[in-house]
Amino acid sequence: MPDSNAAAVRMAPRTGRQLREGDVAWVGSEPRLRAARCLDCDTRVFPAATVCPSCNGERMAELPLSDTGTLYAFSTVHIAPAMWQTPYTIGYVDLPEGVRVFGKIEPVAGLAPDARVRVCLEQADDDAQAPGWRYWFAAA
Amino acid sequence: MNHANLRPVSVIGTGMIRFGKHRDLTVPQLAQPAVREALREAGLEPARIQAIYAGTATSGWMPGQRVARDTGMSGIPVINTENACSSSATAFREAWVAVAAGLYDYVLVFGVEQLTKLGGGTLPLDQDDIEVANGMVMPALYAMRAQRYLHDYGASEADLASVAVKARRHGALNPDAQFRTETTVEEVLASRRIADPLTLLQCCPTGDGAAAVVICPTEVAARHGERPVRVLGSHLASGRFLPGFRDMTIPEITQRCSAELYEDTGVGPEDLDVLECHDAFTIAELLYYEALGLCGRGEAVSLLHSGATSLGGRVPVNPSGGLLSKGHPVGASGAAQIVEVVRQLQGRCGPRQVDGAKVGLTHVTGGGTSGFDHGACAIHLFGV
Ligand SMILES: [Zn+2]
Repeated sequence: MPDSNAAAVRMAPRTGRQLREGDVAWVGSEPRLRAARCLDCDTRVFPAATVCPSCNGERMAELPLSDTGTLYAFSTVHIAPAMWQTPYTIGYVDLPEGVRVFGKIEPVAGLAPDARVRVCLEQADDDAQAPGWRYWFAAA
Repeated sequence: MNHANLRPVSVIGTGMIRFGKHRDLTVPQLAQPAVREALREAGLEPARIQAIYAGTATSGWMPGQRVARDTGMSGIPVINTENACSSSATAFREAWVAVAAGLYDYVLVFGVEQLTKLGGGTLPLDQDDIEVANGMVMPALYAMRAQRYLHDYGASEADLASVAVKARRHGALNPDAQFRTETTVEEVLASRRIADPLTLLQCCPTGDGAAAVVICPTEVAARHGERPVRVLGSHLASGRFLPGFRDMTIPEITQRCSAELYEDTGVGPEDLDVLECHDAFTIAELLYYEALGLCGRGEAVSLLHSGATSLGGRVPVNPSGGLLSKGHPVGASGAAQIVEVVRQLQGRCGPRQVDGAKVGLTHVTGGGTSGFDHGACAIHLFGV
């Protein structure tokens, strides 16, 4: 895989819905993606919501997500809006908490559906007004 | 749904322009010839039309009024609908509801879109959607469905390409199609990579177009137009929020929408003679064979290779060339599908005519939003 692809993984344009401080949960000293679980109907959502999208209830509990999961499907994208550096790889990852998360993937040779992947999180401090996080997936 | 008090409705006029790149025209200029053709076929002066339902996704404010202004129909109620790829199919449904309920007798529906003015490439999506903000584009969504389908059912990339070959074979027979040349599996697979495993010729093209129909109560339809076509059913479904580990090879909204329509009408997939489905990408047509009930799970590739869905087969799918070959000016596609199926049932389709077609279906869905299979799906049934 070309280096540009690995770089493209981290090159999320700072537009639209990025992860903010509230989207990250701490398990000890480890940052994790923060989902929410409805205490009434058990729906799990990422990013976390304060109102349950399934039952409209407000009793939502924090649900830190595991740092490894299973790749459901992925695609390497060659044509995308100009703000993206192509090619890049994206996919859906199923985490043990019952949450499917979409994100960018560091491409490696032989990547296939059902592969084990880990969740990578890093602070994105290029916007001092609203510090956020980037997440992506890499082979486990 | 309670259909007991609804009047039967028929299509009495159809019109469309050839889909393609029409950069020099305005949106009303795209729609005008299609609208005028539909009125002419219906044998109606513009003054007889009582309401207009317009479907488009990207044409800005009041597209219906701008077209009405230029076609002698200004002043009557105009309803503009946006439902992504299902925009004009949704407009048709609302028009059908209004006529069936007795509100109006003569109603015009049209769809129009000018995608070339967006500059080509992938469609612009909502940047506040978490998936879009992380790189989602529509071809990639279908590409992942394709990858998983190939993985789960042992299909090949050549199988996917065969859908495009069929679409282009049909489109070559349609003077209104954007692409009118045939292709081969090798050429499809060798075309530019878009989102693996999908290549350029497996993706619907960027294009502009318009299509229009006129409807009225069936009881007066025989007075207008040559061969009225009955609307046997009309159904609209919206995306259902499905968190968790959803099987992306099951187009949930299409499966649900068609099942509800079949139940409402008593018409089943075995009754269909011809259909137009939302083949925005090759994999989509295969998934919709299964979701619409033409075959069982995992059987779509064998159905395709059997020839059943090709012209001359048991139930030809997308005789117009479909979105892949006829083109997909998003908001115009639903109305254009209706134009094709109505003309098929009228026996007017020349070299691509499905012999003796009596019952036809149109299916359009789309609208990429996280948490949904798709945002909207509209399915219509027609009969003679
Ligand atoms: Zn709930």
